[in-house]
Amino acid sequence: MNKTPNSLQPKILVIDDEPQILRFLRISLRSEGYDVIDAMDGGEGLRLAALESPDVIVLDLGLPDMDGLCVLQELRQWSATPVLVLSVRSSEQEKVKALDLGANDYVTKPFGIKEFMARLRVLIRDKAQGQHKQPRQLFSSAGLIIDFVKRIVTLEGEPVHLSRKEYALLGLLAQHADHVVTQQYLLNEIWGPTHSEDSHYLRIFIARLRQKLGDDPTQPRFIQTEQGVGYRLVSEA
Amino acid sequence: MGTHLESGFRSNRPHSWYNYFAATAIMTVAMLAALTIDQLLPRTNVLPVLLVGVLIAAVRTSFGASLWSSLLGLLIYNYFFTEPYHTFVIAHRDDLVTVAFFVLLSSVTGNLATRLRLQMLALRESKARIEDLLGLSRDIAGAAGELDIMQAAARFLHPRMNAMIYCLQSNEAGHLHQALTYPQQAPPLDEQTLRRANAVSTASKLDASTQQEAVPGLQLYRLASAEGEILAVIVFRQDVTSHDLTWSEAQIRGYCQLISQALERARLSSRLETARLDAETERLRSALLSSVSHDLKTPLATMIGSTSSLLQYHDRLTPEDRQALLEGTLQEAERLHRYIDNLLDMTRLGYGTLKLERDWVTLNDIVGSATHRLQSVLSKFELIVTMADDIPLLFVHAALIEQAIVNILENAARFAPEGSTLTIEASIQEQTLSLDITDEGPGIPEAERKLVFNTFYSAAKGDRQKGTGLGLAICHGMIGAHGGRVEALDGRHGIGTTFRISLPLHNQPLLPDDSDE
Repeated sequence: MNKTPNSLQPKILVIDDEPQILRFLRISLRSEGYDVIDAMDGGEGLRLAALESPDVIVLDLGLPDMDGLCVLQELRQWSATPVLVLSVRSSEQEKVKALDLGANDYVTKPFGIKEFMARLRVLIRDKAQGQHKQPRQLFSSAGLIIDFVKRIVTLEGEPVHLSRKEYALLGLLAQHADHVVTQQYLLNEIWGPTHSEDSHYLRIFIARLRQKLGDDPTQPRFIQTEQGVGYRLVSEA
Repeated sequence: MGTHLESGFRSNRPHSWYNYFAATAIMTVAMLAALTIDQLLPRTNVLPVLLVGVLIAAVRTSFGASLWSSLLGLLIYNYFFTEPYHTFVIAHRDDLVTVAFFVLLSSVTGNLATRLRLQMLALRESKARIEDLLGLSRDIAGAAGELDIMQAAARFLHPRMNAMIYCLQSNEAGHLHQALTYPQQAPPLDEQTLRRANAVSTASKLDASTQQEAVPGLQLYRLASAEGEILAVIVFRQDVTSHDLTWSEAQIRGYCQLISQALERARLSSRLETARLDAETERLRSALLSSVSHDLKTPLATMIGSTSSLLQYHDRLTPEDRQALLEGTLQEAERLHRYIDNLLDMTRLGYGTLKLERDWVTLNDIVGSATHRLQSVLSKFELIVTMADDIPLLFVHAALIEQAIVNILENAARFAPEGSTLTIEASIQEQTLSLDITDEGPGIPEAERKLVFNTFYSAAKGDRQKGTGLGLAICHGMIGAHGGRVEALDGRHGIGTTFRISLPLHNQPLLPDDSDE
């Protein structure tokens, strides 16, 4: 990422009612070279989102005036700006709901700044590529190459043989590289709506994929598990 | 109600006319026999033949009927066997004496025989009653709660009484609610009966515990404890068209007393259990309080100390010192985070509000997530993870199992020397997953191995210990909630400790077809 300040530095809108969190995010984001604006409640947040047209919105789900999910819902009616949600632990359903409502990713509170910045960078990158958004033709990460045109997967130059479903699953994750993809979405897309609750399909297929990609299942390089939410294929290994 | 001897189990009181008929029939047979003997062997005294008839009638029938039979015997003898024949006149004086003796003898023996018969009947009945009570007490002995007891009793009584049975249970406040209907498809009780049941339950203790039948076939009985506390009201609704309506009240009271005693026992033991739970809750609360004061304040002390040092001496500190203070703050904050997660889980786990949200997950994901969360703690150790290849999917609440593993790992990291090896090993034995987490720490003495999972044990040690180890108790609770167990064993080669988590495995779900390789 280009850290030198210029007039084109990405603008981040942070909507959070906790002043201490706002403060450290502001300090960190500025030192990464971002332009930061902030709002203490949902109404103000929506207003700034409309007026300032930020590049990315960081949205806390617990706001004083309205539910963060409602802010998200309203926002999505007129804006496609990437949203990074701040959520608390032990509410997988809330995370999934936020993702379903159009959030692009989430970070669980309390979080380290490294993790937060990594998520944010992905969203900014996506936004930059967004103008000419087309299905990806090639995915590559740490020796893994997926050629969507030729429908070939290679690892360190060696072809990897995948079944049709395995390829579909890996491909779907790669199309959303670096984003968490919910398990319901994956099940729906690959096995159809009648199997949207059959999470064990995914467990087995992800385990097979990891094996074929030579991944350490407890510390995977490529396909990461977001417990209770979904999976994430990492491009910047 | 008459004496208990006569009433009871299918009493024959309604059929007393039948006794007279039977006595008449028996005497007719005796008469025919006497006439036959008189034909074959003239001049024989046939009086004993008639006497035998009276005796048989007395044994077979009631006292009144036995008198009737002796009267019949007298008339038969007089008519057929005394001169002048075929009249009711007695000519000879010795015949008169004979007849007088016959009357005396037959009424005495008749009386004796009837009494014998009644005693025998009573004995037979009381034997049946005792066996019945034994049967009932055996049936309800196996029942655990009040509802189970009533269920067992109703199941027992229903075929015997040929009645529909309703149990109205009284709660602590003394209000009745319908707890049981047997058989289940029986029509519900009407308003009036419910009102009567309430009246029965609130009637003063001096009233008989029963309410006499106002509606045919409907009987209400109150079940009370020895102290007079109302436990339940039982309503029997018998089929009015059935002929077996007569049930001795003593019999039913016997049943009711047995059921009352069982109910009282059950209520008492449930109260004891509540009291025990209350005491445990109280102890847990104080343990949690002491845990909060220690586990939460220690990391905070480091954080406040480090950051205030940074603010105060910022310019005088070397960059390394600044870094060390900051890293310490971060690590302690992460520790605090874990404690708070644990406390939240603990309160949810202990008080039944925690619902297991089971899903199919791989053990790899759980272990991976646990080790990832403890990254900064585990970086000081050599971590070796070995998983058998054949580990199936687990059907568990992943976050809880993960927390259990985090707690064990954190405990191990707290006691084992830096740079030592931690191993995580998973294997399958029959239908159980064994997850062994082994450290090279000081080990746990044999006597304390069970105690470390006890909330009160570690908390009681308080500040003398590094952290309270509440984590192990939580681990125990979380694994227990999944039907598994945790135990502390000897570490490898007698060094350190192995914590073994055992989890029951579930039948694996069906897998999708994927044959298009």
